[in-house]
Amino acid sequence: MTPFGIAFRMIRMRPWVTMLTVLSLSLGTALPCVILILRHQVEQALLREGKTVDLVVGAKGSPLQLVLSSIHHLDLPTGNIPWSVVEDLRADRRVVQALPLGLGDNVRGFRIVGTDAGFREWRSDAGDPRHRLAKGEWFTKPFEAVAGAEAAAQLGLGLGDSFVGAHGLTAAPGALHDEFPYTVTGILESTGLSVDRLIVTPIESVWLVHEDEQNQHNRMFGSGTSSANVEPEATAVLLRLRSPGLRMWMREEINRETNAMAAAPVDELLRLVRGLLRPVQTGMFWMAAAVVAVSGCAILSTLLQAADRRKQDWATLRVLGARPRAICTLVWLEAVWIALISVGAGVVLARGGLAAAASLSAEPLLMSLNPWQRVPGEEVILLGVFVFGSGIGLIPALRMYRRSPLEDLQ
Amino acid sequence: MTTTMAIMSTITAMIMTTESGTAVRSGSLLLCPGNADVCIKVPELQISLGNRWVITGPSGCGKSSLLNALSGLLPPAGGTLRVLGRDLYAMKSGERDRFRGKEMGMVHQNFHLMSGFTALENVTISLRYSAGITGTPAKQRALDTLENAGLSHRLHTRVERLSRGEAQRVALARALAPQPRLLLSDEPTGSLDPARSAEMMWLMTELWERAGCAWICVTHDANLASGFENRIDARDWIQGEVAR
Repeated sequence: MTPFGIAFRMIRMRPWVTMLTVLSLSLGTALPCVILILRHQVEQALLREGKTVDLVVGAKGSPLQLVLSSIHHLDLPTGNIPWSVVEDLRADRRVVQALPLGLGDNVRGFRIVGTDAGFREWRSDAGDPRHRLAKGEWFTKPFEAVAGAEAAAQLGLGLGDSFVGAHGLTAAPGALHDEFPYTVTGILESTGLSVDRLIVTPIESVWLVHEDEQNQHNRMFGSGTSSANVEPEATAVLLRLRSPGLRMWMREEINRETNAMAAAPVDELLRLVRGLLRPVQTGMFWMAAAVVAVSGCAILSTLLQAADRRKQDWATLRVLGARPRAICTLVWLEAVWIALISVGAGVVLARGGLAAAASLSAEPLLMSLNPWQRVPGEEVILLGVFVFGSGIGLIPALRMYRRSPLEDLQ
Repeated sequence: MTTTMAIMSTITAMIMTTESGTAVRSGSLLLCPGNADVCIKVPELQISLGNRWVITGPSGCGKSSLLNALSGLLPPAGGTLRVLGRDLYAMKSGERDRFRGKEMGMVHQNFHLMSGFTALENVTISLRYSAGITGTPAKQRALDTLENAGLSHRLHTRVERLSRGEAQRVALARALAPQPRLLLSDEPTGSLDPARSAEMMWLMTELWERAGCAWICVTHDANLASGFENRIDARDWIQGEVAR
């Protein structure tokens, strides 16, 4: 039986204490891992999506809210802008592409986004089409819809299926637009981005649904406008410019000269990440460090008690010829095992916890989580916890090293 | 220079020859156990290899202290002590541990087996740390020794499930497995009833004869002591208070 085997048997002999110690340290491992994975994926997702849009134009309000609501579909929109703004931007020679977005409805929390044929032409940073169909065809007329991969999976939508939208952007109960059923014509490839959670349709669908709502409202409250008088609106316009250098110029110009607001996603997102997310994450890391420290105390207490209970065994081995170093190693190896099992359990807990959270969430998550993605820096955390956990074991080990076998045998 | 070295080596060889048949030799040994207020002066001892000796006397007269000194765990406060031809306390601590593991086997009154491990594992673990024997050779050696001790049916039983007699036999097998030249036993039957005690002594004698080592047994049991050919009475050892 090797020293590793002996030490493993020793910790197996006190299963409850070992399990609780492992649980404590594995929580200490899982917590920073979860924070790191979330931080990495949130930053990646925010910046990856933000980088494909030079400017976003919407109603005046918070620029960050505009970016989050229009690009990441995380927040409520700042309001609507007249369609003429979209047309003006399309006519601007500095603009390569202007993609209008119309929001207002959802299907069980998955947003219905009205747009135009430019949606399929939108390019990623590398120049590849951002939105590809996994199956089916693109929409060609109102009330045809293409579902994002996650939305289709969660809602159980297939090609040719019909659904109706509900008013509002969240899953909270809202008025159903029963008279305007949509038909699924295509399903998008999974991207891990916010588009996976969207249902995309021609913007005319959104206009028709809300034009009818407006007409009903006018009839009930006596406004004189008719459907013909309702001017089409967009919630926001995403812009790709001829050069990134034009961003600041156009942003200032739009903000100064129109009733709309322009925001540069990259600037807003970097401000968000640096100003809010990172300080919060740093605070959480310190909390995790405190959990690890408490776990360290638990290991120390467990090992000191275990070594004390085993002192006659160690003394006997010493009498039989084992050198103090060998006994010290055996006691230390118990800590190594506990640290090793805890780190493994911590990884499973972190990844499994994220996967469970992603799959059990009643609402669509704010971003597509990939719990199994390897994240840089995770190895450092795992190694750190392992070194800390096994390092703690040196205290009881050195204590046993110095003990006299004669005293322990009496 | 060469002549001096040759003379030295001749003297060493002479000493080795003289001591080759001696298991223990001591003179005016003074033992002061750590938690006692008295020291014990042990008169001259000379114990030959292949013989068995019993040290008898009432509790507290210093029998176990002598055994501890012989195993290298209690440094004498004075006098000379050579065990198997070596001055134990002139050795470095690590060398002494290795020497003890390889050359001596110990059996205690309370067995001191490692609970949670089987009889076989207790012996193989001991072999790793005493004689440095591991893997298949260790397992084979342990199997043979346990079989000789009549425990072939209890090899894979955890030691806490063994009877006291069986546990003491495992302890004996563990002590003899490294094939020591000196077996030390401290009240080996102290935890057993008279019937088991006699059975144990019979087994120990048989295994000692097979092993061909020297055996020093400490006991206060007169019946047990009567079976030994050589006897030391520890009642005569001088005890005196020490200033601490």
